[in-house]
Amino acid sequence: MTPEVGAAAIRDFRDTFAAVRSEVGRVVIGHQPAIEAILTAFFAGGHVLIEGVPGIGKTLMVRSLADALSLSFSRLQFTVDLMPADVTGTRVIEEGGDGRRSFVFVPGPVFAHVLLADEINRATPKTQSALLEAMAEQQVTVAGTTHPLPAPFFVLATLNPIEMEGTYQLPEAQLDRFVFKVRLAYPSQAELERILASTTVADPPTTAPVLEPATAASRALELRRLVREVVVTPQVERYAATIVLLTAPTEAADDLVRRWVAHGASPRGGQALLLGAKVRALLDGRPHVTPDDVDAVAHASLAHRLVLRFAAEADGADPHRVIDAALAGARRSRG
Amino acid sequence: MPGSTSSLQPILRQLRRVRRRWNTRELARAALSLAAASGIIGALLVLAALATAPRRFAAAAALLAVAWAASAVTIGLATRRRWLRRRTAHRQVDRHARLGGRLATIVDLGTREDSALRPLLAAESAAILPLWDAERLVPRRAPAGALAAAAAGAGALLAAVALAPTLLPPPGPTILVRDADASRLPMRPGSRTALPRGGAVAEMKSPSAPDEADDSLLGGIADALQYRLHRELWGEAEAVRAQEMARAEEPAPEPAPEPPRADARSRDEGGESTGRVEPGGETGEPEGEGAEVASNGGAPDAGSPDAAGETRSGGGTADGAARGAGTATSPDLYGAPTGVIHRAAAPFTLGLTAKVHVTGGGPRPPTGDTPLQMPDANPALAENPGEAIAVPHAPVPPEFAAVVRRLFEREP
Repeated sequence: MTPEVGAAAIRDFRDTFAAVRSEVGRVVIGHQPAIEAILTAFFAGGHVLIEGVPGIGKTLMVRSLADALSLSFSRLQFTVDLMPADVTGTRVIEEGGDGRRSFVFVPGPVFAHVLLADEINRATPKTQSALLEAMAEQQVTVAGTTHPLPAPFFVLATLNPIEMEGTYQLPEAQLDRFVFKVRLAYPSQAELERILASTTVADPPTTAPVLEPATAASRALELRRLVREVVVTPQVERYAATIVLLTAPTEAADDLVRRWVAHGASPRGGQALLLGAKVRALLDGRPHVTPDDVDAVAHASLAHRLVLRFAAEADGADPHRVIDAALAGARRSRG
Repeated sequence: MPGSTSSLQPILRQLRRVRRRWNTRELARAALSLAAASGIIGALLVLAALATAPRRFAAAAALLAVAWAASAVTIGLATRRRWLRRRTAHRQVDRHARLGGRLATIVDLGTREDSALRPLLAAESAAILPLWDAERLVPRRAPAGALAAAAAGAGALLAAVALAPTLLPPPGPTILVRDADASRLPMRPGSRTALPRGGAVAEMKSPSAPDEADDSLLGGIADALQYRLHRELWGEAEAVRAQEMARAEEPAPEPAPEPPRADARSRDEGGESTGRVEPGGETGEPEGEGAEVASNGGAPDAGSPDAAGETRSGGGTADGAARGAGTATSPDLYGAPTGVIHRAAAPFTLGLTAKVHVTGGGPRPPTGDTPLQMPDANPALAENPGEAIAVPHAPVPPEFAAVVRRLFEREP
């Protein structure tokens, strides 16, 4: 890639990102950091866990994103009686014109570019696992047959922080599959007023597609590939690795980390950290990652991967304080 | 790989130039800062030397020495912190010039080529070379702030030196005599007439001699330094006078309790060596050696019989009367003699004694009846005086001969 092509690719990435963000922002009032984090995760090739109270605009946000990217969208409401086949699809007997019957695979809702897994913690672990396997492998296997999922495949799962009764908390191994966890804050007075004004009219705002529907998927994949081409020096890689290691209760970790953390972030967390940093670098128009990019995505990519001790709960600890301590330690070691 | 190497070479060359220029400036900054600190501390030292007593000057000099050392350490640490090291120079320059990590990344990557965006990074790094050019990044070899500080320090030192004449102490009643060069005697006209009758010969300590009051190494160094500053700024004569005056102002040490001895008194003053006027000495010599000074040259223990025996050169009695001078005047009438260390080249003073200086008048003459002469406690000693002890004669310049003669004249 020549320098001119590289510069044009970065410009295209920034323009696309900004256009999608703007389109989603026309429909979703507020939540700009969340929209940016979700888009960052999309281009980093990961999935996002969204936590927010009901009615805050989670579904609207995901649908708007799919519309802006001109990608297929499906929504799956997770309930306690939802079965894995309801997620992945199943085989049904179909009778042909000649009267012969055969099994035919009917794809489930997971076969979409953008999947909204609403209230994922309401489904049983078995059903959750079916989705999480699809997220990790980008494919589902039904009756011995593997079916690849459409690329890009992007899952946005939501968690309702209230009404925890009858829910199945996501195991740490499954939480680890999400690149980012985004918390949707309650809208401010001004934002709420704008929401009320814009959603109660005859023609509420809609999202216009940013990418051409025919080439949207391939364009999205190109942009994802560009993210992976961003230059990272060994020093920045070392810095990211140090942050990840300092979230674990090792000898090198901060006292606070050793007291509060049972298990630190995984290597997958480090991957998320670096991929998110690469997207940040491109958004800044740079072909290379700096430690500041890593810092910017550390909280979103690592906080949900930490397993805290009871001492942390007793102290009212926040995983973000652990991340702050790890960042401070990594900065000290960087010098 | 060759492409990346060739694109890296100009960057590394420029980085070396920047390092050289940057570090040269840091050295200049350190030197100027040190000069500034030295100038200011030197000015304070000069002022302290000119305006304070030796004891206070010693404390001030110690404080200023500590301050200078602290300044030097601080400057050294700051220079170390700002120093561009070979391994981290590219990151420091990147931060300083706000290059967005481009320089740091391209240098850290070295020849590693595993990204399609590497050529873009190399091109951008080449394009921003003028942004961190050595002359642009380090426009001046000497930082203006440090230069101004150094000038201020030098100015402060010069101002202190210029102020020196105004800090000369007022003329006092002390007469100073030097063995080696009596012609340089800094006697003031007014003080010649103010000489009281009688008095003791007090030898002024040589500046290089150990301090009586503070005989520690630091005190000795401070004393010598203060004397040297006085000599450089005021001249030698004023320096000697200032030191003697300062010493006279210092509180005299408490005399040791006198033992009930009939024939001798202890002269011990806190371990100092003692000297005494020999009243019946060679006061009439035309060369002005009117004061025959006896010295034991040591530091006898208070109350020690040996010490008492050694110091009784004048043959003092228990009631204070000098045996050879009759009973009219006590040899200690004007106070205990100051320490005496006879050295050939050491200057000494014919002091009017501290009491004269402090009270502004001479001691009162003795009143009442002359006490009866006490019987000799040890007549055998009078018959066999023992071996004469050679004592140095203090040469007194001719112009002071009359004064000295009057000083040691005895009442009939």
